[in-house]
Amino acid sequence: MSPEEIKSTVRTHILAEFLPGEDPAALTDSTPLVSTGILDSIAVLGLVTYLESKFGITLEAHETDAQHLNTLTDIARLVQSKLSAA
Amino acid sequence: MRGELIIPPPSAPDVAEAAARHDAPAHGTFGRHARFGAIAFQFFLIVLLTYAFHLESMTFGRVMACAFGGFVIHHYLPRRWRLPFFALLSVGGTILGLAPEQSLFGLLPGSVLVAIGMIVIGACHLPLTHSRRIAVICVLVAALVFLRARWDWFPMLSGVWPVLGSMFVFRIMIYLYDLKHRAAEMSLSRAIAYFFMLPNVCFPLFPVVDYKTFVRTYYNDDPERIYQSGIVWMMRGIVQLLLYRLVYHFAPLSIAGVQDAGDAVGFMVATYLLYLQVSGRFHLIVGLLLMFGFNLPETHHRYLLASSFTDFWRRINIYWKDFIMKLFFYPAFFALRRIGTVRAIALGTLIAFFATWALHVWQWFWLLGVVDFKWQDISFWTILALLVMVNAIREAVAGRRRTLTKRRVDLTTHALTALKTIGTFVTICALWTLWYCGSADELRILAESLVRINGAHVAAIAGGLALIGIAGVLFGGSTRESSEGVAAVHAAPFRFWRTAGLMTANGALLLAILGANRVEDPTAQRVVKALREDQLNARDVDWQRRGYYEELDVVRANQRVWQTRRSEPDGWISPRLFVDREGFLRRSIAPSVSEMLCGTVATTNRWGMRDRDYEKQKPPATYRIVLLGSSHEVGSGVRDRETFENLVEDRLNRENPGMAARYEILNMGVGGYGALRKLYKLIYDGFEFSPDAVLFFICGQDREFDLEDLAMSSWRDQIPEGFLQDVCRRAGVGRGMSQLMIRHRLQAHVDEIYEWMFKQLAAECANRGIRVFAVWRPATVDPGFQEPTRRAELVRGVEKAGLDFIDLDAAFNSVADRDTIVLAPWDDHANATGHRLLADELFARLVPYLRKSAPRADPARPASDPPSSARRHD
Repeated sequence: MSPEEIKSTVRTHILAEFLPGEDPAALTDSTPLVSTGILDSIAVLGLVTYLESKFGITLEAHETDAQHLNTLTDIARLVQSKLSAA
Repeated sequence: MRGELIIPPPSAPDVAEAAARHDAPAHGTFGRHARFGAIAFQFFLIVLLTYAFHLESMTFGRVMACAFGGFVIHHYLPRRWRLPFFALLSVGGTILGLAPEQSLFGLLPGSVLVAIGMIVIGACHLPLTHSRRIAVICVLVAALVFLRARWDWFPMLSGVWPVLGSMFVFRIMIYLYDLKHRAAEMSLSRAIAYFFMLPNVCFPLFPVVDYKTFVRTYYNDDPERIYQSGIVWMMRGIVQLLLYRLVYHFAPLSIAGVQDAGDAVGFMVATYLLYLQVSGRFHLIVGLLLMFGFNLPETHHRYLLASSFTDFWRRINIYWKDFIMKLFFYPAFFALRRIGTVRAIALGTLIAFFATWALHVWQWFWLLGVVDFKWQDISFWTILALLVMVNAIREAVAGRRRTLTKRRVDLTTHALTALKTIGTFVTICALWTLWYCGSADELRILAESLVRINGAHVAAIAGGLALIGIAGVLFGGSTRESSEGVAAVHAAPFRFWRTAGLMTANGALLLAILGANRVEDPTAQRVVKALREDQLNARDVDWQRRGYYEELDVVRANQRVWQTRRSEPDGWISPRLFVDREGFLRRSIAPSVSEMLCGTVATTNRWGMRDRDYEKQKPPATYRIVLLGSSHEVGSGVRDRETFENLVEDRLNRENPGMAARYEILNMGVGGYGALRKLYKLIYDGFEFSPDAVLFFICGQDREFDLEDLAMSSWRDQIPEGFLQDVCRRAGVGRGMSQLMIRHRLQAHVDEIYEWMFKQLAAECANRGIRVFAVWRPATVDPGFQEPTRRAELVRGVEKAGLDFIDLDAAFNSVADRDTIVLAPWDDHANATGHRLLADELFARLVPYLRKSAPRADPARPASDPPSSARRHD
């Protein structure tokens, strides 16, 4: 799966799950999600659960942070690294 | 070093590249130097403020001065030398900061700390598996715990343990975690800088800085922006610390004094606002770290305006929250998620809060050397855990409103936010009160007081809550949660000169406040004094004073009281100086002993007075005066011949004013006596010596001692018959009731007790033809600013009883620095200089009444100069 596909899938999920009614154009690949509080700790856990079930990957506790999940680009990179390691 | 990592994280900023880019002279050489000059000037202003306001400790002032010099050098160093320089500066600051004296020997404690720290850091990098490294660290920690518990084996190192604990107990856990997961670069300089961070030596309570964040945010932005943010944070920290002082000194923090709903609500809010000290310190600490390029995120974010319990948890002590999330909540969630996301969140939350409680106990062990499982802590964390858990489950199930852009918000949403903010604030105040209160009786006093409410209280409380709600709507919006190492999100453009101007003006304004000390208004003077001096408030002074005579509750005492008391040498006061006594007096001075009294040998005569020997029968042609007082009059801490009582007696005999051939002053003072016990001491013992006059000393601490005495005696059923028993009956106090409750209930009767006591004193003396003087003796220091009020209370009683009044209030007026007339930091008794000043004042005031032709004073009016200052406070 390409990074763009991952981003698109995750973007759709975030918009539907956490940002209902928001303008999709406002959520860009580099929009900070964790550092701005759009995704708080509880939302991050929901996102992790979604990523694991959607992409069939396993994330570790120490990856649940802004370094890995702050933007769609970060998320796509994390997912892709997990997919390629599998 | 083993474990030196390092797979660059996917979105990690290229720090070196970013720094190189940001170090580039984007504004031209002159502009860059001008901006740096402005930053340095603001930093200098902050150093000045720490000195001017005596912020924290003398050590902190020195560390700030050292940090200022280090900052300038650090900035101009080539980039590759900056981190090693900061590491060296931190180690040097740690060693010097712990040095109790200016000698090579004084460097030992800090050197020991650094050596222990280096061993622990080295153990983290042993060529072993991660689990074996942890096992080695555990062995090391166990050895250190043993030494901490036995701190008295090495008294010289007593200051090392709290600082070592604050540097390592939490950070070592983070460091090992990040080492295991290779989360950030590792190097010796980084490790030293991380563990020995420069200001840590001054702050046993230190924010739990995340290692990864510490490393990843190093110069990850424009240096000028980082430095200027550091200035802003330090300035915010200073303002919060000053606000804390106002709360600490002026808010109703003594539970025994809480009488109605206004007091109770004030008490509850004040206990919460005391946290300003922690947030102020953390701002100051992290601001200082920003000055060395560590672009750390904020530690607190408008926590007073949190609108839910999860929101509160995310805003207050953000570093702690991140630490707990990283090491406990997320691992717990991942381990438990097979039971379902919501259940795992619920259980993870409980585990996180249990860890928080346990780690607080662990932290306090390192700070104080004692382990204490307080029911207040357990209740506080349990209730907060449940509230946050319910909120977290709700957020997990129903979600919460999130937006990418600013939305128009309707009135209903605003009203809801206001109500939620008010609800959270009230609940947290209640929780904080629960945490702060030491017993069920304290809570009972609060509950009883809360129902004593009137219209003014309702209006004030409603107004206050409305203000909190409005503030929540206007300023409470939060976008931050995590402090993890991501580049700061800049919501607003960086306007350097505007921020620099504002901070400079802010600093100048704070300095100007000190000038208000010259204003005549006593309230303004009190406020400035409270802001300027880092002193104990009335409650803690009382705790400290009572520590002389009663057991001090180590765990509940203000940490400063405890630490100050810990400085007191063993054997400061010999218990053999006192003997127990039946009845209301409870104890007396032992006869014919030479024992240690506040570091000096005190000799007592055969009658149990700290004085020369006298015959019981008054010698002929002698004017005999009996003096009643407490520990200050006894002459605690000065030699026998240096007590002001002996100085005055000697001078009277030398410069005979004419009343008699000889003068004797019999010092019947006893440490710990309030005015009531002084009265009974006179009745039981003093009259036996056939005095011609009585000097009945009164002072600011009498009220506390009297309430304490009544509480103790009521508890033991030893209240003297008559008026005092009647008052106790009317106040509803008696045997079986806690001392706190007795003191609380007697508060409302203090005025009538003093009125009765002074009238009794006057009558007892008049019946025997003895002249009696009430003598006001000022305290050496008045950190609680209670003297004027307490003096007014006593003088009212003196005037109503028509007693002659000798006012020594001006005795210490010539002393600019009152600390120069006290015995020691842990003991505010007057030293020899203080006694000389008291002797001069007493002699000058007493002599006019001892002249042959001295008229009797008008019983309706105080005999000495009119107590104008007392009237001012009536």
